[in-house]
Amino acid sequence: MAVARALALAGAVVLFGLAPAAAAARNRNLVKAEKAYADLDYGHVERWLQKAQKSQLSPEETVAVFELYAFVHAIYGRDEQAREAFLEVLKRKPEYLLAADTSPKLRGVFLDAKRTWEAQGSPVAPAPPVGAGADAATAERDPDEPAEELKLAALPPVTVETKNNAVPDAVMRRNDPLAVESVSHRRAAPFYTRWWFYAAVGVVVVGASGALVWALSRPEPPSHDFGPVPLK
Amino acid sequence: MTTRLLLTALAVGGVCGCGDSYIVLEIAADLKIPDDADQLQVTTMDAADVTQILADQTFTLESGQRFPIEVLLEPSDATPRELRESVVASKAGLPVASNEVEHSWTAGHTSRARFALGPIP
Repeated sequence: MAVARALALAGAVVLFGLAPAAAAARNRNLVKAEKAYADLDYGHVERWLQKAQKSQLSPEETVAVFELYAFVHAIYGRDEQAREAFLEVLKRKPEYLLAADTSPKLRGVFLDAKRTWEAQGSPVAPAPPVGAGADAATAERDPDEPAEELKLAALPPVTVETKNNAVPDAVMRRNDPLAVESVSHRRAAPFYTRWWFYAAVGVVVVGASGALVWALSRPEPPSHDFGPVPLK
Repeated sequence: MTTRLLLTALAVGGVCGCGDSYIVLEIAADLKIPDDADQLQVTTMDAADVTQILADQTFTLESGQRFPIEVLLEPSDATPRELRESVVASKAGLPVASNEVEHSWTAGHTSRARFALGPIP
């Protein structure tokens, strides 16, 4: 009985201990890319994917990277690049299917890619080198370790780049069909910032000054004994 | 800046340069106040139409005053440019001296009309 209890406890320790370890083992940059995608932050998706490529990826992660690339390219209207990314997905995971609620646009690009892939004879990507499989994925990762050449070569290029590989916001907004359209709530400039206000103030000030000068400079009537007598 | 101020002053001056118009009647007479005259009646008429009386006022002359007496008239925009003045000095209600003169006046200036009262014809 005591042995059984000890075994159960050990099993629990192993289970609870391994779960976080397995989660932590998933490529950190890929996780960030997936989170950015969920947050509709597509510019950062590409950035994290590029970083993820620089480390060793498991076959499953590689598929996830291509899948995200395909999604982002399709969202930005870069259909050709999206097709290439889907092709890479299919080469690595022939049974790959889109989720049922995928948008028609994405579905169209994917079906296009699938037709191309089938027309090419349903090619399959060469197996990853020994040690780069699922076992390797759980191993410690060196972020500076170069990625597989095959994966890098196959990854579709990013068309819009800046020195930091960041897509400019303006481009993002222009290409992003999911971005909320900016609504101009610009209020009319306050009246006191308009030229006509100061022109009117100037006229009033000059008029008032003139009236004041005129009133103050009104000459004294000449000396007299009687009067003044107003004439009709 | 100074130029702008000058231009503004000129503009203001140009707009309000009309000034006031006055007529001063300088009435001379060889009369002593109040021994010879104690009242002065001044009637202003349109020189072109003497039936048009523009003003008619009687002033009480008091001791200490001396001729010439200055009466100030203030014409309006509607006042004819040519006027006729009828001035009568009287003592105890009886006319003692008078004169009638015509004169003109200029808008925006002080015009003076000098004349003397003479015996009543």
